[in-house]
Amino acid sequence: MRRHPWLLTLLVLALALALPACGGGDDDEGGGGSTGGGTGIPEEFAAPTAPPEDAQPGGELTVIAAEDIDYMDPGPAYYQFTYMVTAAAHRTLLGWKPDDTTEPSPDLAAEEPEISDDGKTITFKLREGIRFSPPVDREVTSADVKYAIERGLLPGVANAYLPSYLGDVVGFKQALKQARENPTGGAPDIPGIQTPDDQTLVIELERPTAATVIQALSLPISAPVPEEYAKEFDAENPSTYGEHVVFTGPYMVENNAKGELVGYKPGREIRLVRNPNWDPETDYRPAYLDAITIREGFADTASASRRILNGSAQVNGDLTPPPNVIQEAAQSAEPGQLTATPSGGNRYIALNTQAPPFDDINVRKAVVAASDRVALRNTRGGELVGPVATHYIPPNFPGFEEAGGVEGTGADFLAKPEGDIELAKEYMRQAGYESGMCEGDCTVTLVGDGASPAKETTAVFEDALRALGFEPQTRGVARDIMYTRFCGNPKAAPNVCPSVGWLKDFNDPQSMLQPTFSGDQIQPSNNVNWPQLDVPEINEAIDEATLIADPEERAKAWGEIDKMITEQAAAVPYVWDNQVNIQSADVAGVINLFNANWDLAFTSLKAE
Amino acid sequence: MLRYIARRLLWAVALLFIVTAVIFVIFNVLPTADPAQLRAGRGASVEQIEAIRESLGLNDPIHVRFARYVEGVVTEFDLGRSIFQNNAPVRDIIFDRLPATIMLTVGAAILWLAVAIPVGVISAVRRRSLLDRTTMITTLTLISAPVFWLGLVALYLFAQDVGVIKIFPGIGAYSEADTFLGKVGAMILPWIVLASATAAIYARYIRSQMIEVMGEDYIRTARAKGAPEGVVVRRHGLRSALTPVVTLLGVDIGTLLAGNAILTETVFNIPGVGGELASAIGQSDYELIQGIVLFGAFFIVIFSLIVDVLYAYLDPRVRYS
Amino acid sequence: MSAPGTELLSVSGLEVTFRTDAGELRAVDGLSFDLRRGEILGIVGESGSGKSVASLSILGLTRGPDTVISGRAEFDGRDLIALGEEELRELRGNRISMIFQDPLSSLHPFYTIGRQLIEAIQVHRSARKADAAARAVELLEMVGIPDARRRLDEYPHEFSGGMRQRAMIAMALANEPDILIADEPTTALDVTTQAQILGLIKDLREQLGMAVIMITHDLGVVAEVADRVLVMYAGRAVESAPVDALFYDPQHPYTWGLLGSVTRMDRPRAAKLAQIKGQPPSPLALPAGCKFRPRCPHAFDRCAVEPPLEPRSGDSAHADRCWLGPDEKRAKRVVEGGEIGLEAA
Repeated sequence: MRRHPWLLTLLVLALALALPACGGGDDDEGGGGSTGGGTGIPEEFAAPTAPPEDAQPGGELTVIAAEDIDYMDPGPAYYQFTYMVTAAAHRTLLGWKPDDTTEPSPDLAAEEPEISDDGKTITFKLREGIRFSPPVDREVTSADVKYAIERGLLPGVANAYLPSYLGDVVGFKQALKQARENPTGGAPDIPGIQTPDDQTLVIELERPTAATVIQALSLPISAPVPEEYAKEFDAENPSTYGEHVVFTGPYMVENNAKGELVGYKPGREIRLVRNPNWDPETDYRPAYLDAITIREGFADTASASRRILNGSAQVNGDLTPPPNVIQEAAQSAEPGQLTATPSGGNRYIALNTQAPPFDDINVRKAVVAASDRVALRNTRGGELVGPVATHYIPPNFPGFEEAGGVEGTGADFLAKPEGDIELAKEYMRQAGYESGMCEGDCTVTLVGDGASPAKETTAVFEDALRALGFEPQTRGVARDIMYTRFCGNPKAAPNVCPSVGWLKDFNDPQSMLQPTFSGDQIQPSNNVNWPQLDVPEINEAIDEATLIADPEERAKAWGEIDKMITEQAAAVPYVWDNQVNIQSADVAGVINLFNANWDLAFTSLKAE
Repeated sequence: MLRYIARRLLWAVALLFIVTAVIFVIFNVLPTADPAQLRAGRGASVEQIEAIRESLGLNDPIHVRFARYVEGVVTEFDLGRSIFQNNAPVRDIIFDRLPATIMLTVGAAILWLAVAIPVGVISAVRRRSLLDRTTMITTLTLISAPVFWLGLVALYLFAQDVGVIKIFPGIGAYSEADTFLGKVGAMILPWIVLASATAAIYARYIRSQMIEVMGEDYIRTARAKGAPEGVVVRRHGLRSALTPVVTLLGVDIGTLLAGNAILTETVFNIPGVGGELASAIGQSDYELIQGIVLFGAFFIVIFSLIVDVLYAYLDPRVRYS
Repeated sequence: MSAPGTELLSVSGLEVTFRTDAGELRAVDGLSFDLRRGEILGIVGESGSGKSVASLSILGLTRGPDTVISGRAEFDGRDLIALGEEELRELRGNRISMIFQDPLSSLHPFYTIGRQLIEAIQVHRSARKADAAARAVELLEMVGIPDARRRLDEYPHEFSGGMRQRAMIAMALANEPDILIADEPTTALDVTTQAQILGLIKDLREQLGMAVIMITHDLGVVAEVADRVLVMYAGRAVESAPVDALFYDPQHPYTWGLLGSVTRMDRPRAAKLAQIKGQPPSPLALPAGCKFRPRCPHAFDRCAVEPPLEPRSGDSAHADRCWLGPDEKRAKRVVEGGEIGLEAA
């Protein structure tokens, strides 16, 4: 999510699992999962999404983490691990119950938002009786949500996703410009966000993009911020509200009378305690635990994981157990201590569609067909790491089944997960190479992450290139450099970016496909459409699909787009990520499927 | 003596300025990644990145930025803000981490000296004895053992959370301890791990120093005077042998405080400067890395100054030269 | 205390062997000599002749796991060689003192002169620090160091070479020893200072009545101060004589060579006199028979057997290790311009 720890920590760690295939060889599982819901996760490791019926209130939980959250301020917060905290401490307009996968549930909102017939007006009714934590203490109004969003435009807060998802709100662009010209002059007014009364929030759109707006408002940006309290902090650049946040959720970071977060020591510890102003009657969260301490800095994931598995009242935060520990735990840990959850991310090898030889779709199809995606996936670990991907929308996600589910879109070059060299050669012939092999100048440049396991993945892919007569020239560099200097910079992009992948912002397929495959999204720098795919029909289909509000139609439309993208063979998708989470034997943890991590407001401790 | 200190002090200030300039150039003129882009996050538009760059003053000419940085450092010891970690000021992060690093370093230094001095001296005095040979082999092994590995072995053997023999507090125990005594307990394994390799190096160094010194003419004089062997070894031999160790110790403590305890702090999750440096590097948090490196340079320069002055105090010959 | 004129120290059959990686090294082999009360005995030889090792061994300063010392060294009715370390330590710096060649390296650089003097005193007697300091001033004054009280607080490197050696002597005399062993005390000093230090040693001998062993490679020094001389070569004494007899009637060809190489300030050196040829033998590979044989121009068949040290010139106080008869010796040693040398050109 925000900042590359999304790239760095989350995906690297999440996918660094080198699980041995559990029970037998890799024979038939290449096509994906065979158990429950098409996620490919064996039953015994399925994530619990509800607390046990006899869940006990009380007790303290410790979350073991490698790194810190990105921001305590819900405005810029944009990181999976941060969401673990914000979900327990803030109430956003809409929130994700543990088992929600397609749509968020009303949280700060009293009910589902109303969308006008033209799809351009969204009306939220706020719940009554929700109060800010001390020292603010007063009741939340719709103006607090409006302020929370507006301050997100300030350069000192710099929310990263608002321009992408709320850009169609009336007056948004003007407000953004105003904030940039006067970074310390207070939050700019967005005329399209109105508060007719304390309980009502109306959002006016220029185009009917309500579906994504609503989903985006399930993210921490819609957590209310009291302007009269926060404006002095927001007058600084960067804003120091992050050191003084007030909360509306069942938990709050320990603070003092002035509102300073004494319970947050960046990089070391976050201490969550009960929010005295939280009323359980207004909330779907049971909030069993009395207090939660997040301890950070556990850089050695193996020893940290063993500590959790052998210890008491602990769960993992941002860290993922390394393969050998998972292997041990799969055999020796108590049932339920080890879980796997689709994280809503994919990994692929991007082929640069704007330069020879991969500007020829048949050459691309040939390379995709020649790739052994099972072997590619296995460089990241075995079965638990996630199913072999056949397209881009991940499991447990709207549009996944519509795009063909685990079986795939029907593209012949992706039909065999272990690769199909004969088909590959056939495509090479169609591209004009009589022998089915590359002839002439066959140099192909690759720039990948030079660290394990990414470099092993790259090496497996090189074999596929060589099998077709290409001569791979690979540079392994640091991840940052790979993105900023090469893969994110179209002018310097190599033929292949073998170490890329994408994690959802929220459970809407638009957030998976638009930034990464729309030709309109190609940027001169910080580009994330790594294949630089620019197909007019796809661009148009994306534009249309962004305006569909009906969930079913939307899923269908994006499923179709996924098929169109897949058919372009712009990349070799090889895995849909799972996130592996672990807990101590005495924890009755609940996984939030949206965040693919522990839901602290549902987790409890088992009775002695 | 005063002139000597003044001269060293002046040199230290000049050195710090040069170090600041070099570090600033490394992190700002030759950046491997764009801080504005790092702050903006994935998928941010070019305009968003540009807005952040402008608001951070990254578009100003390099000398203006350097002047601003130096001014901040000199007037408020302002080292900038972390790109992540809640935008926390780098200075505050370092000061927050320093106590743990100081405790780790000082404790380890006491431990390694307490072990290395007697071992080095006895090995030197009983040269080529079985004890000497055993010690030398052991020290060689310890020197070649990677700290990270040693730390993990120590944890899996003796830590209360993941160890086989659950004696000492384990990973992260320092943060969890509320009392000073508890923190001392949490430091036992890290102290041993951090001190072991250094103790081995020091023992060997003290041994060779001691062998050399014990061959000096003034040792023969002391013996000819009729001084008891114990006095000869301690007052005449050790005093000379330990003087160069002061230089070594100053440099080692300086670099450890500067973040050189990075591996030990990482393995045991001690919230120190080194662990912070590791995590800053992992996140490419350039502002934070720059701050820690500069702060570390301060420490190293200051400690070499202390060593110079101390050396002059210990060796009267230096004072007058 | 023995009566004047009788032996104060009697060394007999002293052997010192070092075990080294290269093999056994016999540094001193069968050395015997007597030292009388009030006498200055000069021990002369090149470096490596064993003269320093012998005297250090008598004080136990060469003892160690790799050293074998045998023979006897009787002092005050006790055999120093057999004496325990603690008893020997009590004698060192107390009854028998020693000074060394390089006073700068022989003084501890980190401690003041005063502190090192006071230590020398306090090692052997329980004196209060103030009393020891007063004694230290007295000692410095005795050896001719002006402004002694102030100089007590100075470090060795603040002293000149001659002053340092004076301070060393003061330290050695702190407990009024019976014997002072001076190991090349003037070698590191310039000529003028050299003469002053030798004069000082002679004066102090008179004043304190102690015996002195003067170890040197320089026959000039011996001529200046010694009563009797022992010439050492390859770990053994090759000639032993009263000082006048040695200079006027030297018996051993090695002594002739030494005399030939002497630098005398009072007259120019005879141009025709040759130095001793070759190098002293390695103590690891000594020749059979007379040890000087390979370098000796007068060697003959009999030299294959090592001659014992015994009087051969008729003077019972004058002994040597050379098979040549007294007349042959007189004939073969070169006398030219009043100088004695090894051979004529």
